[in-house]
Amino acid sequence: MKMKINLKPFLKKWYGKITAVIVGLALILFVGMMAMPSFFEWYTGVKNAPLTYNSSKKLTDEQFEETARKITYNERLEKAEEITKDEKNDFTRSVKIQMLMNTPSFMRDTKFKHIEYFRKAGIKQYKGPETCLECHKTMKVHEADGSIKKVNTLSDVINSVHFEFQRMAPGFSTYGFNGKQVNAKGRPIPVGKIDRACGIPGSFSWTGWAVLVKTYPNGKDKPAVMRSEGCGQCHIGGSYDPATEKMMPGGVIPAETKEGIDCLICHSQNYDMNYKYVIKDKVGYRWNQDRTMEAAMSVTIPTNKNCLNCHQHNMGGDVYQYNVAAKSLGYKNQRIIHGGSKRGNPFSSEDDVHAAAGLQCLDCHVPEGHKIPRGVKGTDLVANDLPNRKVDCENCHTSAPHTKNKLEDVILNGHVNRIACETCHIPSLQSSSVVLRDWVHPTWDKEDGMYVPTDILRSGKPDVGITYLWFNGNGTFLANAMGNNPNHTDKYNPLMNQLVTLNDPEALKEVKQNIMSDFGMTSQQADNYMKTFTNTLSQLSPKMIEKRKEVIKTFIVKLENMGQSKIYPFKLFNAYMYEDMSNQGPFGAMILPFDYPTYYETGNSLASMKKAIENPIVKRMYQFPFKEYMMDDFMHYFGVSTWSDVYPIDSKGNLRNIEPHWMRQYGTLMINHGIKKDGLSCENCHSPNGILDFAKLGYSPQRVKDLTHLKDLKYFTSNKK
Amino acid sequence: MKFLITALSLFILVSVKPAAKQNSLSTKDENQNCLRCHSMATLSYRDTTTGIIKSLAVSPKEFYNSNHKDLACIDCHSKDFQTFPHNAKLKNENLYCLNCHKDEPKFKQFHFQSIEKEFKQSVHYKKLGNKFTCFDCHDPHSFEIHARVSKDIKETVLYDNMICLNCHENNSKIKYLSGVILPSLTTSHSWLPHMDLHWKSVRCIDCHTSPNAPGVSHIILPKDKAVKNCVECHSRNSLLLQTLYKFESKQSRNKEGFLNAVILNNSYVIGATRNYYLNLLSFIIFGLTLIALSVHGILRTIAKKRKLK
Repeated sequence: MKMKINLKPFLKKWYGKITAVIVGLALILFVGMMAMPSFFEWYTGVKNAPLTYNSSKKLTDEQFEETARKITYNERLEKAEEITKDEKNDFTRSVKIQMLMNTPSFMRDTKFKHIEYFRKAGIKQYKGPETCLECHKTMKVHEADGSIKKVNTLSDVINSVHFEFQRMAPGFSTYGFNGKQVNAKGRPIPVGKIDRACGIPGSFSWTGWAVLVKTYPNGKDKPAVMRSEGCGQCHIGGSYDPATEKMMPGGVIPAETKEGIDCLICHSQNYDMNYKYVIKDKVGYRWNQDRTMEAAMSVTIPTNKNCLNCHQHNMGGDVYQYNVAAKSLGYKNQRIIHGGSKRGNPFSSEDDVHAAAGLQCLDCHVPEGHKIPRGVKGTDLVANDLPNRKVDCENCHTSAPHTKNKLEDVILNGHVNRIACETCHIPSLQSSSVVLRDWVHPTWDKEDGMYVPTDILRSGKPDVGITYLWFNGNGTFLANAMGNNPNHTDKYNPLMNQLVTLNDPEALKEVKQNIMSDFGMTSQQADNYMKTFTNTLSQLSPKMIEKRKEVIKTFIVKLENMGQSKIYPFKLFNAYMYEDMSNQGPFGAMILPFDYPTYYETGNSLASMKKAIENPIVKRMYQFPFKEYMMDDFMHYFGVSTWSDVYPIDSKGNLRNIEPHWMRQYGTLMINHGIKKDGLSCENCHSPNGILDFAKLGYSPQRVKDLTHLKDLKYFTSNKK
Repeated sequence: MKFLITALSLFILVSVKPAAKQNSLSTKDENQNCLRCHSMATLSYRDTTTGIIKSLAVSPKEFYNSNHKDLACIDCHSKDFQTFPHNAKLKNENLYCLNCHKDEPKFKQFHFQSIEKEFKQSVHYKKLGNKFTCFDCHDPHSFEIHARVSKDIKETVLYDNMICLNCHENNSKIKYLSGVILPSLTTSHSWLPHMDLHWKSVRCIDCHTSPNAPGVSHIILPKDKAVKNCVECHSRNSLLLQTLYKFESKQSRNKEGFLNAVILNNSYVIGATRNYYLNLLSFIIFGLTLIALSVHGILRTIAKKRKLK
């Protein structure tokens, strides 16, 4: 029997029509949602696929117990040694220790609680997040107001900065050159590490996520050695690209990407950084992870070791002597070590008083679930999980931190209102701190057998690698600290003074020598080249300089006078890179990224840049709707009225509108670690040639004279000796 | 004649002003030497026995807005403070408000002697004795009379309440002074409906002092004697007229005149000024209602008569 349904009369009725429209819309939505991921991948070039890791292996019962004994060995030994310390006979003591260490209660009673949990649950293989989520589907989060909230663990992680690398919401301490706080009003755009090009890495997350580089440490005629490189090494996702989906409205993360999250790098006390190297599979390049049971069985809340797996890279630097993670470069395709360090203020018990005191990162950066505060201040355009949670010295040290109660301490406490703790207590940075990095002229690194950007100046010295500025907690869109002398005069103007010049004679002498030997320049050529960074404004046309002054007057001065400013130390930085001159403003132009393999292997910086901007996502930036979706707004913050969609490669494949430049002003990075017990002393600042340039800091000539010739200084200096 | 008076007063103004200015300038110069260090807002140390931060700072901005702005530091403090480093003996310098404020006739209106007596009856003095001084509440470097001159009651409330909260929101200070830890203010006031609103609108001392004082009452009462009965304020003879609105009600009576002060004074809401326009509005509404009712009545009577016809 055949049933025939005639829809025509139904559709003629009003309710029929409405039903038809609803069904139609639902159908379009459904098809759209099904097709969206594939469309997105086609459009951006971002790839997704199921991720597998060779380190994830199933253990036998014996292997499990053996691993348990191994990772608890030191703990058990220490305990047994303590108990048997009164035993005089060495052999008897060793027998006792052996017996004690192998009693069941010793085996059970360890800081690694998960050994027993896994034993009971029969978990013998670590399969990634799915293993963790078997028990931790939800978690309790202690919020700042004292309340406790139950959240979905996975979504808590996925919506944290450590996964997202960006944020499409307010909470930035960054202000554009149009006077507007980033994302504070209007339609927010996705900003953060994910899309913020930077001169230190010379690339950005899409163009330099995970790559393998051929290097020739044994000579170019010998077989190449593969090395790993890319931003992805410090990301908790394991995919082929950063979490680009999060930049879209809605931001649905594919299931396979979620399965790539590396829980253990933050939680395991036995995470082996030798597993962090780039692997190539059928789909592309991605970062490997340690998914061994040994790592999984030793999970705890994150300790310093976990945070420093990644963060010592930007604090002490890769070449820092006590960077533990940089000692395990990989079982194969070893990670590339970066010579110049970003901040040069390490957090280690050797170089930081808090680390030496056994403090944990999370003691100051008190987390709420997987959201970790970075403090309310910041000059860089980095997303912040908890933008209102303070991470300040004052939280513990109060406003009267010097407690010996001598007259000197009282006066030092008096300084706290104007001088940040870091200003005195970070007297210098690691000498590997890079101040001037030239990406355009690479040099051959014989030891590693590859071309590297040339650091023509590295310094951790005051007034060379460190500069001192008024800071109210906010920064410009190009990472310049904002603030003003509390006298609120217009004398202080770092964007026209401190941040556009480099004039330490000793440093300049060193730089000139470096240039002449590295680039084979004559003295005259070197002088010409040096002008571009000893006076960065020389790169701007007179018209642009006028515009710059205008913008500072109309928008920046107001912002600099906000809040309470103190003098803070900042790491200075500048980079020589190719720029898209179609998108130039008075504070700089769009810097263009480099493709790492091309750069490191050939040393051809121009070709390397061209390769990087051929990346689909860079192309999309120059097209509709990406331009309207975010690039125009991005450019407004940059101080440019609109994003020019002239793609720097023309239809014939030639580059256009590209010039190499230094940033029009030095970038300033906050430095907060590497804190020393003994800070600078009075005369370091209060003398005619002190490290603080009081005149440039906006003090009146009379006040400068007072500050550099303090009447009572003798009392303090003579008392010290 | 009028012109003469104006000219004369102008002359006086002109001739007096520069003299006053000169005087304050020289005081300022004199003070500058001290303020070189003491204007540092965080000039302070931690008390070695209690751990409490003791501030040695004087805010020039606050000082030169305070009632003591015309004084030089050494008018009150020992002249020996002019040498640096200061002699250790000076630590024990003992200053007392009444040293200056006792006999001068121009201070009479503030009833300082009465305040001294009241203070001796206050719970602070009774419990803590000489450990508690005027300076624990009133910082002479920033002190301003407020209730008498302020146009904005809320500002007065905030200023005065901060004096109490400086200690009462800071348990370490209270513990240092009294050795006990008091329950938090929100706990001890949990019985009070609309707690936050009350705190913004009335001063702590409005409930916690005995109002029988010629000036601002300094008889801080023990907890169990504080006002706890709503009707004491929310009534015709609101207690607040003797306390918070004491000075304002005098002023407003002068300003708003007889009608507001006498006829309406004891009517509906608390607050001495009793918003004049609200009064007027309620009269208008009342009047209009009356008129409407009578018009309605008249019309109905007329209509009924017509129907009957």
